[in-house]
Amino acid sequence: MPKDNRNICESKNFEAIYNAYAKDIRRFLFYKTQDLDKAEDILQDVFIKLWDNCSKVDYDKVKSYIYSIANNMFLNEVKHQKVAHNYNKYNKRESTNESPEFIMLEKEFMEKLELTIANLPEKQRKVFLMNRIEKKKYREIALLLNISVKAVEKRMHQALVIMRKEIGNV
Amino acid sequence: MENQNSNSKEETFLAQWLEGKLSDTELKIRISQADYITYLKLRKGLEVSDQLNASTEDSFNRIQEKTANKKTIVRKLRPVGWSIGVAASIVLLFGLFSIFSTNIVTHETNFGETKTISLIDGSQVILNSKSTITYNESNWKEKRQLTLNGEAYFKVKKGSTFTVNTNNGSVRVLGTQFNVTSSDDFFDVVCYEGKVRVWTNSSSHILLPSQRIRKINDDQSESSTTQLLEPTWIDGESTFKSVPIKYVITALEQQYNIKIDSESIDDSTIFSGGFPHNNLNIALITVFDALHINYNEKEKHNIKLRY
Repeated sequence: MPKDNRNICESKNFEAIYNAYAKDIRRFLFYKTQDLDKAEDILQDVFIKLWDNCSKVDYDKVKSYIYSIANNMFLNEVKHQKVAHNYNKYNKRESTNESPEFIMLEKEFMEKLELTIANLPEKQRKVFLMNRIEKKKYREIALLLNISVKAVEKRMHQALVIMRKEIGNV
Repeated sequence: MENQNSNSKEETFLAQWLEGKLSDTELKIRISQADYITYLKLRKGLEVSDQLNASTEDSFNRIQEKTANKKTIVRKLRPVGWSIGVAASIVLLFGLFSIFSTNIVTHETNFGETKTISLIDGSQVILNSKSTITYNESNWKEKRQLTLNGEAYFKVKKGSTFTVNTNNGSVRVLGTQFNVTSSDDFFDVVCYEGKVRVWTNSSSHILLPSQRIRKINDDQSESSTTQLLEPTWIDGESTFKSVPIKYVITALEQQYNIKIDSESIDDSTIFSGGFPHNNLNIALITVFDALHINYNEKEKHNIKLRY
């Protein structure tokens, strides 16, 4: 029996598909739900469904398949919670002006934010990434770069000022 | 205070705020409302961005748990008699096994046997007697890699890297023809076409056509050349060039399924020559007469060597 190397039911291939798309799907779902936990839950359901249907899905079409499942599952979720969701959304939106507890993070905003970080001047970007990505305290960064804590804080401050300028008003 | 956040190079309060040392309310009184809202969104965006870029491994593990659990539940919901249940779960287990296990293929030759194996990418392996190759068929296209014990001649189709692993080292090529012999402590690679890269456990070499590399025991690897266009064993003859006789004896044993007792001879004597695969008598004469070693067949398939 010839083995189709691109059979999704092969756990290797399944995992490869997951690794290729999981982050994008999670991001896609986050933009829709604005809720990371929910995005993560739906992400899992999407891939469980893909696994259940692995023999029926064409490898070449797997990307559009998982995106449409993700979208359908999101819509189902909305349908289930329509009333509550709408109420919350309305409620939270209204409070945005005064005390913004709920902050909507749109796709465009997130993309702009990430682009802005990538385009920060070298000095600021380095400090910024060490703090945000490597989760280093200002004190540790100062030690590593052999500069004062104050200098690290200045760079962080500048980084935020630049980002705020780039992003404009929201 | 002037619009401090945009031009002052000396300020650090945003850094302190991001770190949590300065509260939102404290920030709010220092900057404009529009700035304040933007910074709050920026901070949230940064947190979310971190999480969006974080590993998705946890979810993958949960997916695997859930898909595994699901199958158990299906099984429980069908109490159609005890034996059917058992049969079903065995089928299920096999199903799971075949889904999760990779598709390992093994080819083996017996005494005096050679075998030609076509791999899925069109490459060919000719396996000499008493040799084994093992490879993973399901990811062959991504990773052309196999494990060899014994001797084999490879005709590799052009494509991604093709790797032969042995316990003595590995051989890596793109598209070419080469021969590899690897037993416990004997490693021999001959390149017939293209270019071959060889890693022994201690060194690395590049072979061009007709070049050969050999490593016996933990000795230094030695290079030599060959005039042949392909290994002679393909045509039913084993040839050796300056090889300790013990490896020739092993080859004879594997070819003819015999036991050779070499206790009373010096098995490090160097031998150059060959033996045919179809006639044991001629084989024994050509190998041992040349070295003035006497042999007699004590019983069937059991040969004793003496000077």
